Amino acid sequence: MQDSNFFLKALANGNSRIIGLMYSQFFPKVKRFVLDNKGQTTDAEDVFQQALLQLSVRYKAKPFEIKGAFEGYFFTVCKNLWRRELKRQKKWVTNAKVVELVDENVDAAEALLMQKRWELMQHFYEQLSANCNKVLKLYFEKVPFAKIVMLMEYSSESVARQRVFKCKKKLIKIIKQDKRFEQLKEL
Amino acid sequence: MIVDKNLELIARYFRDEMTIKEKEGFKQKLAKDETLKAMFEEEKMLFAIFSEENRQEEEKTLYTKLFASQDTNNLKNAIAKASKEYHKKTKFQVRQRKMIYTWSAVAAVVLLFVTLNFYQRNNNSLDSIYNEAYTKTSLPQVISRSNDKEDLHNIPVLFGQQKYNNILKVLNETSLRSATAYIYKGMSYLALGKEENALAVFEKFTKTDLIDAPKGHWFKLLVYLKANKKQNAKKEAQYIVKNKLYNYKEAKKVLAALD
Repeated sequence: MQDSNFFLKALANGNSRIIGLMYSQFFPKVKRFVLDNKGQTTDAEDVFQQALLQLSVRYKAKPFEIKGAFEGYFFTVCKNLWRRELKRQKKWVTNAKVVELVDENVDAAEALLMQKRWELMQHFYEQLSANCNKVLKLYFEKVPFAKIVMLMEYSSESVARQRVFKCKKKLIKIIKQDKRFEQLKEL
Repeated sequence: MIVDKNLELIARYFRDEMTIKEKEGFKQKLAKDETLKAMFEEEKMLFAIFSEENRQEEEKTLYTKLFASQDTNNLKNAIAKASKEYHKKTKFQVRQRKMIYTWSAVAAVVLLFVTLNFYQRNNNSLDSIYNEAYTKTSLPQVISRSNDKEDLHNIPVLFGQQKYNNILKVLNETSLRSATAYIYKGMSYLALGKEENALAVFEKFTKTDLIDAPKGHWFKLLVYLKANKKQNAKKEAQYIVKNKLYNYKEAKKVLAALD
């Protein structure tokens, strides 16, 4: 098994031989995921290539290390890209308005930021209880408290608010203990 | 627990639950109240991480530039090249796999056909040899003069009626040792598809001191033919021919047919 950084470096150097290797090793799984989730082979190809570009840009902006297997990490990036695309398609279908076309580089940058944020969120959410995890996700998605009461089966909005603030307190504590805290304050 | 009023206000602000007027009032309060400001910053950070809204404009600009750079364009070309190679290879592999599947299927069908044909021919030929040999076999019509048991007299009749189990029941209950008894017992087993039992009976028959014991070889030959044991049938037929035993002329024909 290749070292995770072996692939990152190959991407940063634009090594087409190693990219070919990545195709044969990782593409079939990505394709299966996209096909199983309302996509076509061309969508899988787009997602796969976007993921490769994203990792390269991220590595160039600031070299980083992947803990664990590269394949698992890469697959998560692809999954998030495809989910983002599906969400966008859903918006296109539901919005009658003409959607302004976004520059592909800006779009790719946004996707990268989303991926980074997703990783950070996962890191913090993993340290919370399942209940806190769920209620906070609803809170940050700006779901009205009345709906949170219903979804979480709380007795009242007041209980929901208390629960949110309690969980948020825990979350802040976790974040403050994190070594990345100073960086996060800049956000 | 009572939720802090400031926390309530901050949450309402970030979750877009305030009116424009409320927002104005909140901002004025924020400018004056340090505690509120600290709490506000914390919430801002939380929303930056956990809310869908992206406030990381600087980082976004950096990434946008990198995505638009010449390096990324070069990488795009390298990816396109790798993709082309990969799909070319995959298509070739799929085509190859399809060809292997097709040819495997054709080969399987041919093999199946040849096997069935061979088996059928083999089967048919041994079956027909058996049938021919069986017609040349004379089964005794009288069981024994020394035994007065009515049932025993009926055995040839029962055999004609294909009541093989009845025959076996009668013969297994007696200690009768005669060529006729051995022959009907063995032939009944054979008719029931119990070739091993039939063979054991005829084997025993050949080893008795009965005058007709050598006949047992001919019946063994019948068993081998019926059981499709070509090599054994051949050996048995050769033995009969060589020793000029019962039906040796017929055994010669069997041998010729087996060859």
